[in-house]
Amino acid sequence: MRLPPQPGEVIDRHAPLSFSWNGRVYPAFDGDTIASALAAAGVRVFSRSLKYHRKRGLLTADAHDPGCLVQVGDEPNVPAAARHVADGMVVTAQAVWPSLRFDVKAANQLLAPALSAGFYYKTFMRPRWAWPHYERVLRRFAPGGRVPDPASAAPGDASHARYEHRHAHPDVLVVGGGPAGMTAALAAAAAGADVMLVDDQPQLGGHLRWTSAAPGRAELDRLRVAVATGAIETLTQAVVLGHYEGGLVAIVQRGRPADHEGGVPGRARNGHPDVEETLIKARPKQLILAPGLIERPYVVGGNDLPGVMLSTAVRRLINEYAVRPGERAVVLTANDDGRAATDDLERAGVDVAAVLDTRAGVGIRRIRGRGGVRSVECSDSRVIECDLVVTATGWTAPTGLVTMAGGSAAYRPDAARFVPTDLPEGVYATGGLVGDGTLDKLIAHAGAVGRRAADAIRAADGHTPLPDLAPSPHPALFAGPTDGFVDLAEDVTAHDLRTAVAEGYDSIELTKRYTTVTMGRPQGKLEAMNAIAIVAEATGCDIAGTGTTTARPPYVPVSLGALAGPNHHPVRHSPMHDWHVAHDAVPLVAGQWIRPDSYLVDGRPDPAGEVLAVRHAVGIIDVTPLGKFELRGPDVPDLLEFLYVNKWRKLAVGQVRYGVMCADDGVVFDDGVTGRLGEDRYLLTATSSGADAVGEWIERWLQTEHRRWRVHAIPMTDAYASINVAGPRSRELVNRLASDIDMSNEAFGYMRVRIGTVAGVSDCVVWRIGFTGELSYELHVPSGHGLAVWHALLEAGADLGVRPFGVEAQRILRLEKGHIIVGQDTDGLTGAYSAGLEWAIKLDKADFIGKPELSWQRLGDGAPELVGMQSVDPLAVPVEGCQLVADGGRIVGRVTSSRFSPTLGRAISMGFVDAELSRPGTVVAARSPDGRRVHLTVQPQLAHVDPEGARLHG
Amino acid sequence: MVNARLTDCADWAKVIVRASPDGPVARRLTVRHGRATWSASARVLTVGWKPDSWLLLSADEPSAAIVRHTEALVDGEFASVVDVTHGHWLGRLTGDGSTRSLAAVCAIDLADSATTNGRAFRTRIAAVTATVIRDDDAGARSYLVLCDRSYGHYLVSVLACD
Repeated sequence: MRLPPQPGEVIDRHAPLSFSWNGRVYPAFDGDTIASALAAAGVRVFSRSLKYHRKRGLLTADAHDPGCLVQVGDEPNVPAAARHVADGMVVTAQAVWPSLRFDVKAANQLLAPALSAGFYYKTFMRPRWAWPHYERVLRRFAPGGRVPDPASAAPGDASHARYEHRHAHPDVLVVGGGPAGMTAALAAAAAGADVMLVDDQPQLGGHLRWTSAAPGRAELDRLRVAVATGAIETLTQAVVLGHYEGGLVAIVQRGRPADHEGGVPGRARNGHPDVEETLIKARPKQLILAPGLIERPYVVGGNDLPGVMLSTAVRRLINEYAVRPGERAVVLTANDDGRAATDDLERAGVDVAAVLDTRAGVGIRRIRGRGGVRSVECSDSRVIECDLVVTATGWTAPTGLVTMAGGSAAYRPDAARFVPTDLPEGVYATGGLVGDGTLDKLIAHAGAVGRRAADAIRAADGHTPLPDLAPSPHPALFAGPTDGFVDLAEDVTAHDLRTAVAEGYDSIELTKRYTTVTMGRPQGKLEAMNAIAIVAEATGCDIAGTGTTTARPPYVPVSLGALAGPNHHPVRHSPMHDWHVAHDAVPLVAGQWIRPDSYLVDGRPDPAGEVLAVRHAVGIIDVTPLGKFELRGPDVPDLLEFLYVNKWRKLAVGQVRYGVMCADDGVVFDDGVTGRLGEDRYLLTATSSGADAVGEWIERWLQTEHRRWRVHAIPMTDAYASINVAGPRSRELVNRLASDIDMSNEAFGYMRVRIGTVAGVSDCVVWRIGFTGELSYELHVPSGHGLAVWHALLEAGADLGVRPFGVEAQRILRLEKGHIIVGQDTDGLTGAYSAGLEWAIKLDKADFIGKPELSWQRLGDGAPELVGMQSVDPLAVPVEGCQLVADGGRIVGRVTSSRFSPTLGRAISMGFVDAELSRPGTVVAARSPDGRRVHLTVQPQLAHVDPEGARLHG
Repeated sequence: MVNARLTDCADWAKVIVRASPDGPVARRLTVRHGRATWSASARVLTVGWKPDSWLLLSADEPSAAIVRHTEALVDGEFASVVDVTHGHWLGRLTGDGSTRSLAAVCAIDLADSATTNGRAFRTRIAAVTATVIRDDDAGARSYLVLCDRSYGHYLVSVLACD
């Protein structure tokens, strides 16, 4: 079926390839699509239809073709008429069993009467218990290919493909690379605009690509050269997915740079060589729509048989791919394009048995065949044997982008198509979308549109006049005398539409949803106009009154990979991160931070060993993620009084205080310590996870309610590497490195802060606090020196038994001490009183955030209380988050934290219990997800270790 | 291949100045929000960072000297001058392809007409809040990119040109 070289062919006959189709090897040339190569080899059946599993062949021979979705390797639903053949490509038919040729599911055709419009709303409903069985069977009939399993995918598979995103801000975006689009782009660029030109084909040219006429080809060559040498960014194999709020236009471009170079010399702009698809988020200042026209199929009995093609499809096959589409053809036409197709067919050696021109009163009654076209029954009762039926019965203007952009379209009965009628500012239309005419006429209009768009960019006074361009008269020819398929992707027939209307679904939007017409891959581009016409006829309304369905993005199906794009998930590292990695830290993902959970010892995590090192000697932990803010100004005490529930006015220079922040509703929001470093200088810390929220919280109040306060809050989280040195020998260790700080208990007591030099690093903030319940110091070191100080601590403390510890050990240590973690032991409903923070709340303050609500909460009783608990069985650790239940299974609280305490050699926990069960000695049961119950005894206080605080103050 | 080069400038001095947007300090700094200007000696780049914040960057001047010099500008006005050298990562992306590299991860219009040399803006780069300063280098297109220090490794991996 391969023809001799054609004037406009896009295949490279010097680059032969081979690929397999359903296990058999086929030849191809570089530039062939899968469909063109198979068609050249005589293949006519590419798929089975969705519902009835009827054989389907080429219809449009482009990306919208509903009959040739295939599986390529592990990538499903590939449009075979748009995807280029690659050497060694493995292509198979989808959703057939056992084979494309003999598909058992074709038995569905026998059930056709039961599978009519909306059958899924009427069947499989009863008995209700049988639905899981129905579902299991129905899943076997699900259309589409096989979704790849990422776990078993190999390099080169679709699941390993690389996807990119990028942003673009062209002055003018031209959608459509036909003669009108190219001309508009050239005109805008010539006027100084920065232009982006987008076309879905590998080569620019629009309908000129498949013309064999010399003048058209000459004009095409001229335009291509001009675009290639002009200041225009050209994206081929790129489709505009939609127009979104704010003028955002999403474009997806397929392929690597090499894929583009052949079609658009020197203008390939795709990025990385391995990129499969790029999603371009364009925000053009002006948008020119020149998508051309889409030829629509003709609805008549047998119109889905392999061998029925649109005139544009056969012209593509002949002129672009040098493929003879059949041996003996009947052409049905309502316009001059049928004549042009006839000329091409005859030139390709196809025996054109008849040209049925509907304008002369002849048409097709039915197309006959079984698995392929065999004959045509004409309206004049002739029966003509053939293997190819070519239809040229009308055009649809793709007005979807017009309406997405805020414009509107109206039906022109004289032209039998919708046309744009109202365009928003900054949006223009040209080419076939607007009207018909000679090439010169199209180019004149497009050039004026391009200049007008460029004028708008420059705010030029001149207003380029637009030449007339209107649709030519065209017969309203949508359906023949026998029922055929309206939507070949969804297997919806004209009979289905009439049935839906008869059942009351007489609005086109309802008909669409009831029958699924226009809901398949082409999304209405091929079938919407015919569906509207048939519904209009059935309802007795005209087409204009029937209207259209709503066009929504995406314009074509888009891969999830393209939408997801590259894996941009930020991670944050402390200055000591590389040391942690080098020393076998088990990474913990804490928000965006990567933290050491624990360090491996002999290949195993050893948080218990780390805990004991802290309790008996000294440990160091990287706490850099702790939120830190430098507060400056004379009104900082006012801010602190307002932010926290406790008092701050008497905080002296050198002192540190713990504070609790509540939201307006009295719910605990964050906690931390703040130290006064100087007269008007403070360092506030927040929880690691709450740092950003606290920063916004502070700015919110400073910039809204308290603008007169002279306070500057400067985020310093990353400015300091923070290291907590904890354990009975921590003072000894820090003292060895702190050259200008008196570390004695008398000079540097609990909850005090000093600024000094540590390990030779000046301006370190050192405060004495105790989250772990041990004597401990927190060093905030200028980040660039964090690793050096970390090294120095390990070296200086070697003889003291210093050991790094991770987040897990820290969590055990603080639970032993009974210190809460906001967000772990509290949630979005935990009031400060419930969390046992009554001691901190000072309602006698003039004002603070949450005061009114907390005043009310104080009066209430019966709220759950946070308590410490110990398991009756010392080895039984309740599951964190599990419910606490009383007799009869009544829920009486929950476990918020639980661990096995290496210090005590027993299980300990913390949690909320109903107030009446909070008395020490009360036993409650924690119900694990597996139903097991762990009995817990309520303790007198939250702390399990050193409740008196002797270690902290030692 | 994208023609762009990423240089680590993390060790540059970085100082934040907070003051009233229309006060004496603002007038003395002379740089408006969204602009960046090199000092006459070309040693310190002053960036109008936020309406009430300026960022002073220098490869040559130590941060302590910048703090000292800037504090001298404060004459009774409530202002804060804070050395944040250790708190931020700074990189320079230079070359013809720098705009394209940045456009892959940043939604801002980087065309000459919108982002002229000397423009500064805060935006998101690959989901990280960052400051971008167009600072052409000897005629070559160049951007300084500033973010929190802890994101430095990540942004290098995102911006590093293949």
